[in-house]
Amino acid sequence: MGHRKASALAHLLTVAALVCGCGSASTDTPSTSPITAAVVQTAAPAGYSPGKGDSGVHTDTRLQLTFDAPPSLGAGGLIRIYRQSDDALVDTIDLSIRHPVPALSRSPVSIDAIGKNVVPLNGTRMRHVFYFPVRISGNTATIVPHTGVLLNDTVYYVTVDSAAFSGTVNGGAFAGIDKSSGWYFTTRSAPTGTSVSVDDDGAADFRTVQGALNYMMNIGSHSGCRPTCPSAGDAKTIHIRNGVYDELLLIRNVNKLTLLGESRDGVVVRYDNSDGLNPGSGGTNAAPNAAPSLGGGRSVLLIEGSDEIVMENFTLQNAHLKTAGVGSQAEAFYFNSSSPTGSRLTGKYMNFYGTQDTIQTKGWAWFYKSTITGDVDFIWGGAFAGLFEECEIRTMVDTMNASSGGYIVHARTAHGYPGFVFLNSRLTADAGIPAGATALARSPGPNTNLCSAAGQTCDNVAYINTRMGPHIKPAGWCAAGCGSNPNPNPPVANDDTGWREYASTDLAGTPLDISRRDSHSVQVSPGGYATRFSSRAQVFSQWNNGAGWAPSAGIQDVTASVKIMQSGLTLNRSTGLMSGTVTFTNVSTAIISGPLLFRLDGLSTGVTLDNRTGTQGAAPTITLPKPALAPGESVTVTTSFQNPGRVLINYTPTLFNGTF
Amino acid sequence: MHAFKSLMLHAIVALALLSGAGPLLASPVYHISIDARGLSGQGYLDFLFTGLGSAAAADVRLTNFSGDFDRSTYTASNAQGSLDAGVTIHNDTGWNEFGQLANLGGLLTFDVQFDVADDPAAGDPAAGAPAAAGSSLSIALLDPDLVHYAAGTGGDMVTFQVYPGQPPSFTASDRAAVVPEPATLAQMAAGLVLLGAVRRRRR
Repeated sequence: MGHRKASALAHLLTVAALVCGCGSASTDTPSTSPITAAVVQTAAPAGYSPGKGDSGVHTDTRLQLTFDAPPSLGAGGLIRIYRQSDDALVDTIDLSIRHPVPALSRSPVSIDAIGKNVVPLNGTRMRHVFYFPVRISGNTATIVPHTGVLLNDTVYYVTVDSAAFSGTVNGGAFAGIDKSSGWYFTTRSAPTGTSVSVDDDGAADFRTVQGALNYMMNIGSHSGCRPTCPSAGDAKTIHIRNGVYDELLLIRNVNKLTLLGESRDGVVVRYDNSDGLNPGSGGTNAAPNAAPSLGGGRSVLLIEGSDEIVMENFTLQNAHLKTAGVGSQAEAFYFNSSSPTGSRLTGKYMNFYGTQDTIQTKGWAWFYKSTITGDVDFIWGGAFAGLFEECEIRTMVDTMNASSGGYIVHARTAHGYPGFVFLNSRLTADAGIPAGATALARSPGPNTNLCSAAGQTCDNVAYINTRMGPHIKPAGWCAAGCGSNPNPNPPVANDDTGWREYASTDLAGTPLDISRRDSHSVQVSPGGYATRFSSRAQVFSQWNNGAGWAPSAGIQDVTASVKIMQSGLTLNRSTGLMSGTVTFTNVSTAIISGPLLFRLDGLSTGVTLDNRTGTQGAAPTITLPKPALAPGESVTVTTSFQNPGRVLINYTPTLFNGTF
Repeated sequence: MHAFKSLMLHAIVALALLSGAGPLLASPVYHISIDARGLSGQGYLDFLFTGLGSAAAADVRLTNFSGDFDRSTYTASNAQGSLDAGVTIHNDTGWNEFGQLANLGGLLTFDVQFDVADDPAAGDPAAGAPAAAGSSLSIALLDPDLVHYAAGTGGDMVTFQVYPGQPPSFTASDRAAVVPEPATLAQMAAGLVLLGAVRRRRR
């Protein structure tokens, strides 16, 4: 039997199954009907994903059609998803719709309402954005349904107008997909718990990050549930496995949520969004505004009304490349939470990639050992305190203005707060950036706002112990006379406010010549450094009316980066203690930053570490007496044991940096 | 006799190296003199050889005892031998000890030599073995109760640290003199060079 004949028979059987109501043809229930069983065996050609009759399909699945050769998009045509039980239309993608901005009108767009069917959002706070619902890559067309339209444990079928694509399938011209084609599938049940996984191809709870975010908002919003969402107060984690996730995202009204990537470079969450595609910083509303400004904004990730959000160990990228006729602002994320008593955001071991306006943040934001790229104003907003600690801030070539080195910071911070602080960070640049071209910051002005009272915005920016590449201007800052930019507010800086630096060096660590620094800036005094900027706890000391926030870097096992020499044990006959030394030597090429914690795992029964400085679980720990280990550097610590039973002392040495 | 034993020992090490088995590397011989003058009564010349459970296998051999020794000895776990035949202590339990009762007041001399298993991967994080564990030999004068330091002393006379693949290091009190035997020191250096050459060839 030829393949086409088999396919035709399969379709016929599928029709019969659908008409007779013989079930969903789920592979989990092949015995419900002989007809259904026959469909399962033959009705899932490789050209469809999900396959015809698949069960356990994710509610955030993409739909894929594979052609014999690269297809082309038609000028119009509808792609529709129906619920099988009552033929209710649940989603429509109209390929004739184009974006009103001419430069963006080549591909079909659709309007998404991110947050739809998230119960606590109550249909009133959704992120409305234009998005690209069809992508073609090689022979495969990927169709992106609107978010939140597919529900759990439901059978759906898909139709595609013949006008949607030009191409061939199994040697014949694509003639469309209708109900009788049998492209139907059953969605899976919802996961449970406060820890879920996302993978774009392997086994996981969700296929998309937003699918997992919708789940977390449903179970864990701090408002909108009646009476409360069950996990509102719990720590919640989304594990994102390696893959590329082309999505626009929304987090609203969720606290204690961690997005944890499998690997920093292997997990790429991205979208080509911009002020051209979705103008404005963005927010949520009940219905889209008039195009083109629907209201959802130009960032990849929008976060509203949330506290204790952590992004760790992945790449978040706004993939927009500046294009003539398209607004260039394009945040990777916009943290629009600004409570003095909440609104904490952490980004650690992250890549935040973008061009203009990469990071816009309010609230209290801590970035640790992360890389931020951009060209113009790529760190900006109204943070009470936005700390970039041990980060790389890399200036990219502005593709619309290649000779410009751009500006790093554009601050609109609140009077009386630290603003943007760079601590022990590095300012680097692409090779194409001219020397002396990049400004540490420019001001939004106006010159009538002097940052002299509460409620006024200020240019509060401080670079502390930061290494700066040759791309930084000798003047450092960009005030009046630097292009058409205004003077900063306040016009005269001091330890507390304005444009500030302390102990800036070149990339090799040699102190910079600061004699030509802009006159509106100031060098922070040693006392100002010691009391304001020497630790993250100082920078965040004003959080929650002075309660302070001292975020943890988390804990990392760095044992693989050190050589460990454990001495034998000597006995002090006076104290009865058996003592030895343990020497840790950094054999990696990178500094191991502290605090450094030595943990003795599996210490022999009956033996006690007499000089422990703490415990972690059942294991004793010793905080090492050095704040960090440079490559090749060593630190030695004594271990003193009580061993009344004179047993052989065993343990596994483990070294951590950070705190539990 | 002493020269013959030394020759045999080094032959064994060389054979182990050539065969590819994990060799025991012999240290230099250390001539040790404990000056107990000014002390009185009896006490134990005590040797405690301990390491962590992960320590590389090691022996210490004690020979050529000289001094005013009594008959009584004390042994715990892996200590074997006698004053005349020499004593060997292995490090594989939590408490490996040999004590020899002596009449204090004069000089007590003896030789110490270590055999330590070499472990090329120890201390190499890339080999999945970031830790290298050694052993300690504590030499002390103790009261006859074998609990307290002998009156007039407040700590160990000599302490050795031995690590796999490294020459021993030691600290000595004012009452102790430690003299490595030059010939065996040179042999140790040659052994380490040979070991390095074998490893390079294996790569």
